Amino acid sequence: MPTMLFVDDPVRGNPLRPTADAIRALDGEDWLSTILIDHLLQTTLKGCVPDHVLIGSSDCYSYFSTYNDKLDKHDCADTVQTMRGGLQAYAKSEFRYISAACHQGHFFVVDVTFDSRHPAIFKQVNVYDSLSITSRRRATAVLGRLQRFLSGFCFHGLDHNLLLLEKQDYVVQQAVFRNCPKQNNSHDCGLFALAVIWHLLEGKEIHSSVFTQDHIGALREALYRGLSSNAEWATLENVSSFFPAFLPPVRNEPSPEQDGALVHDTGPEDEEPKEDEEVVAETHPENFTHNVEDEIFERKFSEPSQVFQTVEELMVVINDYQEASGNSLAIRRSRGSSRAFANATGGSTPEMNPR
Amino acid sequence: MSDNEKAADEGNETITIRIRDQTGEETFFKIKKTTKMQKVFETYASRKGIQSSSIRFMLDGERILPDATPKMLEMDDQDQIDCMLEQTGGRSF
Repeated sequence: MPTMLFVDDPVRGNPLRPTADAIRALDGEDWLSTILIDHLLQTTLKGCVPDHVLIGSSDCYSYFSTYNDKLDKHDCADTVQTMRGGLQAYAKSEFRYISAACHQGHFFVVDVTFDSRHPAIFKQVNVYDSLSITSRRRATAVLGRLQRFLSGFCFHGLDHNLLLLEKQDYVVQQAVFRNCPKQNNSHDCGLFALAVIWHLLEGKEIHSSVFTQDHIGALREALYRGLSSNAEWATLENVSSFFPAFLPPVRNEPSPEQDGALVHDTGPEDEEPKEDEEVVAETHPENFTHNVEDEIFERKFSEPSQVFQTVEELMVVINDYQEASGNSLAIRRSRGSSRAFANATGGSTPEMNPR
Repeated sequence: MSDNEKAADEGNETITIRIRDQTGEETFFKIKKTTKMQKVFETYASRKGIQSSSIRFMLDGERILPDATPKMLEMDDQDQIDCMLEQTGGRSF
């Protein structure tokens, strides 16, 4: 991965903390801020984005404008040189740049795959805009500045760059405005853009009904409840429950198997774990399918990356669950894998199976 | 001059940095090389009547951490910081 971030990539960059006002905007019909949208990208996508995918800041228009302006200024030569040094790494292979760009009071998604080694440079240029009457002007303004930024900084001095320098509307000519879900109000475009990005990263095809205004409305309410009470709420696991047939992308984290787990490979099933072992059990919601909805179970075990340091800690939660629900719960060792999973016993109790 | 004195001298060295906003307006700050940038950001934001967390402060294309100092950032006299104020979006046609 190149060391210099591409357009203040929020997913790989330092934390962005939205102001209390920015969070409060979710409650009602206010417009959302770029830092809030970047914060949500950051908290939901950390660890989910492949190396060749670059998530740009929603303030990319300002970013491109600020730095493109410096290209022609003599007193900015040092900055331009420093940035060219850091950004030339993005000319060395194929990258896909995705951003919830905000320009003139509207968020929309640009999704551009570029490779400086290829004569045509752009492999695909897609725009997803949640307005039903789309003005192409906003998107073309952002794309034009992206092209100038690529040619001025990342591809500076390369052969194929001549094309970008000579045809200033080259990227705009290739832009395809894709069909996507539409907002029916004047304040949800930021969340529509976010939802499109989540779906794109999951490899889902975007069409006009992949999600609807209703899903976005529910998401907005839940985000407000979550962020105003607990800043750590926004994870893709939570978010994914708002979209039909949406599965979170696989995280780039080390698998739970390597962490030292509740149970080792060889033991027979249903054997009690040894109490003196160092025990770490993680319940990853994506590892399980729930056959039956069980709110108490969800609450106790479906926290993202819940980690138990000892068997005792796990047993306390299991006992709590058993008392609260009247169901009984057993820990079962899985064969051929050290991933731990809990399995409820009894008739209509939840059953968890490794996917 | 002993090493200690030299170190103290370096810490007291002041530089002038410029914060440039999107309209091109520049604000000058005279600070020590060991001052945390947070202090500069807060002062700048309060002067503009906004919260510092709604502004991105960038040096050579990269966001500056509030805990960083000009020394850590290898900033020199008259160096320029670019700032971008967050925008909002919703859009009713």
